[in-house]
Amino acid sequence: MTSTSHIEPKEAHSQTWDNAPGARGFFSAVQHKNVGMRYMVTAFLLFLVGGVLSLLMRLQLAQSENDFLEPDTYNELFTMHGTTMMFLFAVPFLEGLASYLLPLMIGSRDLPFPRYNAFNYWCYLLGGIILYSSYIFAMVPDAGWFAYVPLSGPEFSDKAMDFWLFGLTLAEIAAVGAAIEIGVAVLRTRAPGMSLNRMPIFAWTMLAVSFTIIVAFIPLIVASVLLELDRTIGTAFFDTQSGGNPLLWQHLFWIFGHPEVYVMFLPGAAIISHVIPVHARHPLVAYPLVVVALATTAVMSLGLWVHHMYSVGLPSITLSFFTASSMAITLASGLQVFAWLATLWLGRARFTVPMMFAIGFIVTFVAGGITGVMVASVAFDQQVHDTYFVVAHFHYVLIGGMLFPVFAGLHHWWSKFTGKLYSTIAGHVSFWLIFVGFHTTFFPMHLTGLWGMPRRVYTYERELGLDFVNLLSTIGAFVLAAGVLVLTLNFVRSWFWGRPAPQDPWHGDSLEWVADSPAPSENWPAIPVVASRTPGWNPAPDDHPYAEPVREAFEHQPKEFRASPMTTVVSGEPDGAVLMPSPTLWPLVSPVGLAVIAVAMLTQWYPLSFLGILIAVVGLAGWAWRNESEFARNDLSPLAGRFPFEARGSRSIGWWAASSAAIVAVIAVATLAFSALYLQVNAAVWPVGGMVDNTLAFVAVTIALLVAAVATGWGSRRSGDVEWGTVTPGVRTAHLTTAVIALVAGAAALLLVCLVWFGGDIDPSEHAYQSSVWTLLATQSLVTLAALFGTGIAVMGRLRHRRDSRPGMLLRYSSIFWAATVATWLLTWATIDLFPRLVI
Amino acid sequence: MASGERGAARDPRARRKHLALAAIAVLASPAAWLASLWLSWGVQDFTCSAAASADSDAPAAGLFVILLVMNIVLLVLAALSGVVGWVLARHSRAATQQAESDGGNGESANRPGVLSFLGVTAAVLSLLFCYGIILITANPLVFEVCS
Repeated sequence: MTSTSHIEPKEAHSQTWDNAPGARGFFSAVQHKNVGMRYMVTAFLLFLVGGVLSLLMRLQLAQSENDFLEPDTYNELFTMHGTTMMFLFAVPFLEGLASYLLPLMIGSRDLPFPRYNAFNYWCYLLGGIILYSSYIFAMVPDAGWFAYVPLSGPEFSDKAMDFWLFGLTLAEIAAVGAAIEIGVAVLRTRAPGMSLNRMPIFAWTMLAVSFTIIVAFIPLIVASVLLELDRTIGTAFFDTQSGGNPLLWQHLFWIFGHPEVYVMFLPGAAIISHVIPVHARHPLVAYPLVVVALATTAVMSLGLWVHHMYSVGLPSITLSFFTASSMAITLASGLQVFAWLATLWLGRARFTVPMMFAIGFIVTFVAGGITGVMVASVAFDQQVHDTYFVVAHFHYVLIGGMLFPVFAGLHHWWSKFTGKLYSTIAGHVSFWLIFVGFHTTFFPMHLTGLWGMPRRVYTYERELGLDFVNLLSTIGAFVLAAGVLVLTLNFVRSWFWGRPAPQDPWHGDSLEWVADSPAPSENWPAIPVVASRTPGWNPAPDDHPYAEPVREAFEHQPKEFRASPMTTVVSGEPDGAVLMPSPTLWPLVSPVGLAVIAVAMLTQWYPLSFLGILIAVVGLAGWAWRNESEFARNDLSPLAGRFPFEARGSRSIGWWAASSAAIVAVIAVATLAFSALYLQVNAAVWPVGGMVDNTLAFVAVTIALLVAAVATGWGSRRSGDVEWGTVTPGVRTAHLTTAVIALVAGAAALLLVCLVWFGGDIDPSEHAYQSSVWTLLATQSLVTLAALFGTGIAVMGRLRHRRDSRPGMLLRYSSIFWAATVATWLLTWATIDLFPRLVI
Repeated sequence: MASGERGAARDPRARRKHLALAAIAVLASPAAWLASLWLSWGVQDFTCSAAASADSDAPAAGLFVILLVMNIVLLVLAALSGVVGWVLARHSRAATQQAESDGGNGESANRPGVLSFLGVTAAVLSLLFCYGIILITANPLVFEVCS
């Protein structure tokens, strides 16, 4: 009897984390390991495809004046190669790795928003499918992975660029979503006791990277929308004849593009910061300095974009500002390199396969870093711009800084992912093939670049004397490909037929090595407590102050639903619990709707877009309904009486979701406002055809939005910091009343914005000013609609829940988004009405 | 260490205040550097472009003063954050040593550890970003504004 009562709770708890069997289980899985693995497998397959494209290019360049490929085909190949590697492989793979590993590393049972994680994956997959479907229709994008206008604009590019824009936008929506997921996970769902000074470097890095993605990737989404508007409805953002400016695209693209390099490099560096200590059997030297270095790199990466634009004719002082920043960032990168070297020096290195890739990384990345300092100099960059020197530099940085670490990480954590061992001999063979192949391919490109060979040109003349070095590069590329093939086959063989691996084959220092290999669906049947920076080597004592309360609340608990602890941002003190959503198909529905909208736009069969919108809205509504069902169905009283699911403010995980959504909305509109201001200061006349001036309506919109924000904020406070299950007389009425006030005020604001938008005689194709106004008003309408949707969810929650706490929280989330709506509106108003008056 | 300081180290409210201050110190110098770069570029480039596109004279002298003063203020802010971080780190280490000598363990030593870490991080970040701001500030002294 005793043993039965001991086993049953374990089984019941474990069963709550199981996925449904069969196809339904496949499509409804939301657990981080399922989603993370899908990201990684999908991205790796696309990496192989991108690699094949590059081999075709190398075949073409193996000899001068070769006719293996037509010029147009070559353009398509370098466009799809770059796009695939940058957008569909590198960032998604790293986000997949983080999705899989982070909860294991930080002691959580799942990411904080598992359904959102699944939603992001489906968006990414559908984005990739849309991009590659261009081959089916023989409309392959060919304007480069940077898609500079006017080459990518309506005048010079056919429908192919629309595939690029829609596919990419979906993939970038996924990237921003994953960044929110990862950032909140690191800040709020760490293991009890894992204070900031005990966080794994990978977690620090992904936190920094998620910040960078949120700030830098939204401008690319905005830029893609602006370009698509230029292409479809004839706006004039990039049309110099109508007040537009092609350089706006370059600014927006590189505001995204340069940080993206660090979004790839920083996780790579973090992998190395995990691999080297374990395989050198020595804790990472200068941990605080490594944290400083990665934070500095992440921040400074946001201020380097102009060094991709040195040759476009910007003023000297502008160039020198960005040269200064480009030089300053080298200090931070150097700090990390010295920390790794010191760890190797002080440790007892084992030359395992992961260690070999880590050493390969250091050699290659340092070389790429040095050429990076060279091209950060304006004088040098203007000489080698658009030559193969730059191709060599960025492949040293990207393959050295991202691919070598990824291969190191895959070999390091392979047993954690699969529970299997791979062939060490094949691992070493693949390393040497990749290392030698890489340097044989790309080192000669420094020379071809310095000797004047331009990039993105399908052939070169025999008289240039570049045949031998190009042939060398081509041979190297095939050696590199052979290495990747050996690596892939080694992993495939191991996955299906490999020997079982022990739980911790390396004697690892971080928390993931404490879990089983592979980890069970719930990761941690008993939540670990952390008392050091190396919990794998120095576990917390049994009498740790957090051990008993956490054990009481979470050991094989709860049995009826999924849950994980919440901890404070700085100290990692357990202060609550998160309800982890269970599997469902709903996160798949909205991405399908978005893809249908994209198909409608691509085929120009616009009625289909209404079906897409309907599917997306139904998907979101069903998702929200399902969420509230779980909050209604389960007993969410505080676990062990002290870890509440429904606490106020930042102690509830939804607060972080609402705040993140608000930040995204504000950054998007701020980017639009920046774009309009940039066009304005560069235009000879602004506006042309008169200003959109409707002060009365604008004041009314402001008041209506403020009413909505204040009403929901006040309503949410009516429930106070009540205990779970409390029902206070009058609170229900107050919640409903304030929500209805917000709905009415928000609807009035939306109506007024739409009246100005449609009734103001704004022709978006007339001039860039009108284009900006039209787009800002459209965006404001969307943001207001989203806020109304949020308040609608609060109303639904109020009608479904008897207790006051959950509806109060939903109203609070709604008020946060209404506050963002006020901010976006003020930005919109200033851009439409204030800037044209203030700026000459 | 004075008994008042020891009390502050163990008082949860004082600890929270110190942690919040340390977190602000960590964030301040990166924010100052970003502001320095973005504002230096934005103010200079947008003003000069607006003047050029309107065929009017750019207020170069005024811009020079604005850039210099703005960057010096941001430099001071970044430096201050480093000083605050350093002071907090020293304070925290002293408190930890005192707690250990008083027989404290576990969590009493944990929180000052975080504080010390954040303080040191703020101080080093301040050094790096002050260097970055100095590099930016020097530019108007070398190049002509709106040239």
